[in-house]
Amino acid sequence: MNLEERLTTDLHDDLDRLDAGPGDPRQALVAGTRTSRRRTTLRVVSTAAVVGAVALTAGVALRPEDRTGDGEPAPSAPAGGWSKAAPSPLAPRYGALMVWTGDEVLVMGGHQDTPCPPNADCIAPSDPLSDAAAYDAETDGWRTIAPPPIQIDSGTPAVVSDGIVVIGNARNWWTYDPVADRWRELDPPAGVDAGPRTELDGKVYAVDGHRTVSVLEVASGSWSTLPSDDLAPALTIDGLFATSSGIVLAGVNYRESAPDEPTLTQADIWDGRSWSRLPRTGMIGWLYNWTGERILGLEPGGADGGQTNNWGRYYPAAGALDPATGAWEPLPGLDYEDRAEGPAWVVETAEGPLVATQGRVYDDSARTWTEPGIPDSAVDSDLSATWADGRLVFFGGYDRDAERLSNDTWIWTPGG
Amino acid sequence: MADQEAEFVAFYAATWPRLFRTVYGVAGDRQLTEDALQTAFAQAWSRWPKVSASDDRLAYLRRMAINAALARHRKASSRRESSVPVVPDAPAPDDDWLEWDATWQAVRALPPRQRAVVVLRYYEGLSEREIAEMLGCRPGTVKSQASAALARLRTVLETEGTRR
Repeated sequence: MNLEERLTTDLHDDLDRLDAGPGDPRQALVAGTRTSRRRTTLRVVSTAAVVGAVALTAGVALRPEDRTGDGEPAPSAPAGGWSKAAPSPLAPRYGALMVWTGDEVLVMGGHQDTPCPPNADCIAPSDPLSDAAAYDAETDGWRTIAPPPIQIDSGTPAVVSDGIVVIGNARNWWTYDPVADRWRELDPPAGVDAGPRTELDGKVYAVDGHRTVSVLEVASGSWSTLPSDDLAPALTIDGLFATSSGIVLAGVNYRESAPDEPTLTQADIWDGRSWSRLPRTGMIGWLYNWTGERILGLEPGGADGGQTNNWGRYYPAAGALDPATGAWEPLPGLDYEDRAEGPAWVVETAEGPLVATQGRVYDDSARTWTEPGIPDSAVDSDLSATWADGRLVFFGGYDRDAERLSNDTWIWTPGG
Repeated sequence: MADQEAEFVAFYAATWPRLFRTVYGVAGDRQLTEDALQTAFAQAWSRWPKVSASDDRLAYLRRMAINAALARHRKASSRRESSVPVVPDAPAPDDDWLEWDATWQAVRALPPRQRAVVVLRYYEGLSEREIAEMLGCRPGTVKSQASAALARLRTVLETEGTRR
């Protein structure tokens, strides 16, 4: 019996013997009815969010309880707001690299010197640390993990693919398997010359300065390259996104700038057969985050060309690009004054439609902004953060008044 | 509405056992499987007129349940079970015999996406294209995942040497 025959036989023997039980259709009926009502209400709120941009820019956040008008409790909402996690085994620090594996939040490296104040002319930061720990939000427990083989901080390129962490730079790539607690050095071909940028379906992608997109198949460790994007004129290399529609290279084409219009963000897409150029967007900023449906750029502000070269209208820095259709649309709530109004921990991290930026949280599924504020903590700068299954987990940072680093972990759950 | 509800309950009862076994193969955990299936059935009920009119309701449910399971896939079963906040009404059926099955243990140790490919291919008998459509990836990805999974299984099972 060969392996495939054995799998067919044994899986049927094993799974067909399982006692599946009868299930409980009442649970599905109740939850499905609630979802249906919520969907109807959300549709109304989403429309109102576009029409009511004034309310949004005034800092009014839509909470789950605002979305239900039928007396139903907020659907599947965890207790919202802030909570403090158990003490970490890591020493106080700032600038740690944080990733969510799907099971745990990994906190790796960072710095232990005094962070540079904003706009100050500092010497270079200290060498990054090379220790790490994992936090399980379900059990509120920590475990120390195998130390990374290289010094790491929040600037180290990293992506997670099927639970495997891939980090690297132009010279060295490593994977970390949280289950085995093991780091493994990869052997990138000489041409890779870049760190990991994006992931999809078990493949990790990087792009170098010559627009060459390298592909690592994580399970096998094999490398390949996409055919070169030779579309002319070439775009700058501002973003690489592995999307369900294809591999997207975003940038601008400075040769196309015209006196009556700024240089607008564009994107080329590899659909598995060829490269093609999507229509020009209406934004001038970078694209940063793939939500699973759209690629977002969330820089506040924009430009109109000024008094001498005025373009006749205002071009936002931000926007959303649908790689499946090439359609672009602006995003609400991103004028210069639309930063967090109250105290805020400013971090940049995204998970699906949720993006934390400028001290606020944008939810692209509802097109709404929320201000988390801050918890009862004296830390006021240089925190690290990552999303973890819909929760925003912060670690470390610096208390500028007390001139003290922190190793506290705080968790913000939407809905509070 | 009552007719629709009766139709949904009958569909639920008819398909739950088969879906449970497939999703269990992917999730490797009874609690995760039930969570994923209830999520999928709830989604189906929330848009039942559309689902009930589809050509293959079972495939629709299977796709939603598999993807719900993959979204929760990395919770180790022991950790997940220990976090269940309420005591179940009845003791969970005894699946201990699975713990001693070499093939199942080798499949269960695969990364989630590879495990899904193996279960859908060798238990459900789906083609690479059907699996790709279900998992939202390209057939080539399914092929490479299957290849990696088989290589790992071959190593593990040949090292193990004997069956059961």
